[in-house]
Amino acid sequence: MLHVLNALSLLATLGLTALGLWIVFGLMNVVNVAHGEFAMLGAYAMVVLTGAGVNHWVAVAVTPGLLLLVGAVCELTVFRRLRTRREVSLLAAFGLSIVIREVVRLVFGRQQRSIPNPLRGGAEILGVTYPRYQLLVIAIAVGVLLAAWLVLRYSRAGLVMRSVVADRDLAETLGIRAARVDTVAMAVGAASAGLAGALLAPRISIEPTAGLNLLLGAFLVVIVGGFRRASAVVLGAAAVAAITTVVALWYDAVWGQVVAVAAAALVLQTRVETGLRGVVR
Amino acid sequence: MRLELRRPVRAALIVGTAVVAVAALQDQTGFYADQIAQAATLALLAVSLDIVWGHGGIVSLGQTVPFGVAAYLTARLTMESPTMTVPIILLAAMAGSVVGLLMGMVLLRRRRSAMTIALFTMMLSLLAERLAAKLQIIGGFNGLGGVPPFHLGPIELSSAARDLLIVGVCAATVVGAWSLLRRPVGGVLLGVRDCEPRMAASGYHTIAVKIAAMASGGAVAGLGGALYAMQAGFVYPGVFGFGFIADTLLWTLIGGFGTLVGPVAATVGLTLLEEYLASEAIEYWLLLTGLAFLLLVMFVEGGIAMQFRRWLGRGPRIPNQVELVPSEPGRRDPSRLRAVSLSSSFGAFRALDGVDLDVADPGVYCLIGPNGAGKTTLLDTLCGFQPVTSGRVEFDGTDLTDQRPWRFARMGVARKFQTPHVMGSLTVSENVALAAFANGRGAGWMWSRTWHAEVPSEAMDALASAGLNERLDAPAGDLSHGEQQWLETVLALCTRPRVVLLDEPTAGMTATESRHAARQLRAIAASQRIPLIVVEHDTTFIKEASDHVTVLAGGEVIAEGTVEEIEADPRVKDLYFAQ
Repeated sequence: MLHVLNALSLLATLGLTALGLWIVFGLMNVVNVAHGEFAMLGAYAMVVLTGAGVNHWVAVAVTPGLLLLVGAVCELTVFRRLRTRREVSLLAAFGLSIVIREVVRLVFGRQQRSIPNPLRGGAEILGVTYPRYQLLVIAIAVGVLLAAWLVLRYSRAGLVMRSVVADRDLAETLGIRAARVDTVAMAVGAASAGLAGALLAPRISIEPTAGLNLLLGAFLVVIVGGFRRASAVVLGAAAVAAITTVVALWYDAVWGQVVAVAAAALVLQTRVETGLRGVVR
Repeated sequence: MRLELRRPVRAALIVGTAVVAVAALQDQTGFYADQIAQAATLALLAVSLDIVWGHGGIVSLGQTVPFGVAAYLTARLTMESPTMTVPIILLAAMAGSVVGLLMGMVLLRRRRSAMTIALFTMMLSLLAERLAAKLQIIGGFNGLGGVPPFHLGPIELSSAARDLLIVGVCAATVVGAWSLLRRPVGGVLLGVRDCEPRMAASGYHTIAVKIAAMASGGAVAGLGGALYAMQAGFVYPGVFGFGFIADTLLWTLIGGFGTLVGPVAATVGLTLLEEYLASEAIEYWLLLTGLAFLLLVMFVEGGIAMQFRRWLGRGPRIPNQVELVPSEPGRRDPSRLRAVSLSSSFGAFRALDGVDLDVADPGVYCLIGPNGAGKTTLLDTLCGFQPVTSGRVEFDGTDLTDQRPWRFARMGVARKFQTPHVMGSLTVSENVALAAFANGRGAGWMWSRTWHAEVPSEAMDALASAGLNERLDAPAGDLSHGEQQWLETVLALCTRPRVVLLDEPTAGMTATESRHAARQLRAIAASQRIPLIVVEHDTTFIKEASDHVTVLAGGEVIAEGTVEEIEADPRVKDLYFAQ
């Protein structure tokens, strides 16, 4: 039971970090290598806010808003210029991640920070005692993923987004401003990363390179799950979480990730991404 | 005046100059020679990136994986047997090649978007770094220190001699890679980067080409990693990681993707600059790197090297000197292309529904029908670009159903796509040569120093008829739409096909050009005794050229016959006018 909860907790983390990566990839076709840095910024926002005496939960609520701004600014200044050059936008994200990391290092220094856990102690659930904070994170992650799915599936905004994913040019001829959708996607992607960072902040050592570790997990999720559907994020996260937890039981988490990468490699061999076999025009 | 030297002499001169230059920098401390030698090993990492990404178009962010594996292998093995340096380095380079090969096989056997490849390769390097930090057998977090000195056999080299040797080996590798990439084998790689479907339709096993590029890139990265370990004297998990990727990308970007020399120069120059500046501004170096990176990406297209060439008034790349020699057409056996109740679907949509087609006699066969009738899909299934749901495709009695495009091409089925598919950054003559090479026997032509291509005379005539022989040195991407269309038709003819599939060969041409093209194609079908299957909308063309017309609608054949018969057919009239 404990292991199931561990897997769920990991699933929540992975799902939250992968969600934004998936949104940005799905809508803009950009692998946002700087996604982990957005999450890292979220964690640092918590350091600053709680350090300034802001209530922990208020800070958790404010952080995604801050990242929303960061994401929008990044899209407007960097990615908008590179819309037609996808490989180049990947490189730009790479450069952006270095810049963000270095700025954070210059401002906060190399040393690790941490913030206190606002919800100490464990709760009795299904016969085991589990940290209350992690249970809450699981609940929030489920809520966020569910909300994202509902918005995409049923709302007008979701319809607009899906139309851009399906056929960007056609959507534009229908009067949808794809460029604005891009800005929103990047902002929401960054905000979700910020939320992930804020929620993880009490449990990780906060340092400028923290983003890279989170990025690895998010990459795994989207490769295993694929890019096509929103449910893929959840499935991918579930698969990666299950594999990692099971392997970590006998060995440790890094080997769990190795096995998950092997699984991702297998997925790449089987699933046809584009509908056409071998060579695509 | 240009100094003409024999190639080996030139190569020896370049390598010699590099070594002498480093020797001249040797001072008491050996600081600069040391730095340059280390930069030289890293330059090989940049070369590896330029081979797979710059030339092969494979967006790999994981070239540090073969580099790091080779570095660790070298460190570990030389600690076991210190005098075996040279064989160990060779072994490590081979290991790098195997790592590259495996990465290629996992990633490239099926078509994946550039972004998936970028994602996966970067994930591999991040994971390799974490794994290396975990494995105690290779020193865990601290890595392996105390790599023994470089030995040539039993002789231990001084650090000065080691640096000179390393610089020499790296320079030789760069010269070798440069020379190889200027040969047709390099052209094949560029061709696959520019337009993979065209290369596949000419008969190149494009997946094998890309995997081979990954293996070669892995070998170069592996050699670099092995030399890096010997030079630095220690290895640590970071050799796999983000910092190394970021540096290599920056160098390659500044030097210019696809120029090979640019990344090397940028690596050496910037590493020295870093050493020089680092004492002043170590705090800000990485930030400046990141900013430079961002600004370059956003505002300087093609890297500084390419801007420099533009400033000098040169083209983006140095075209190869190509010799196109007309050759007599060989005797061709009569051939027969058959589709037997062929169906093909995109998801739930049935694009083809039980189509029968039998083409054996020479002549021009036109496929007509309204938009969405399945014409292009039919051509795609007839040459391996679209999977078949049910039914068979046969060529000369051989069942080719669900074979890959290059198999069709090698059997003699040539294809021109609907929109122009040519290798845009290569010159017209390079395009023609690559199509003609595909037909060649053996692999000797690939490694030849000259681009000497035997082009079937009918293809040469077709080239000349559109005036393209006047523009042989122009990049194909600079041609007009109509010219590109015709160039692609010429490329299809270069492979000595036994049946040719042409998708809208005259789209984008003027009425005169179109009539001219019709006459030409008719003449080719008659003189070469081959069937041409042509998808067309242009009625002038159809009336002028066709011997036989097949009408498709809704994925089914609804009428067949001569132009007159089709014109008289009430069903066809309904199809076009009844709405």
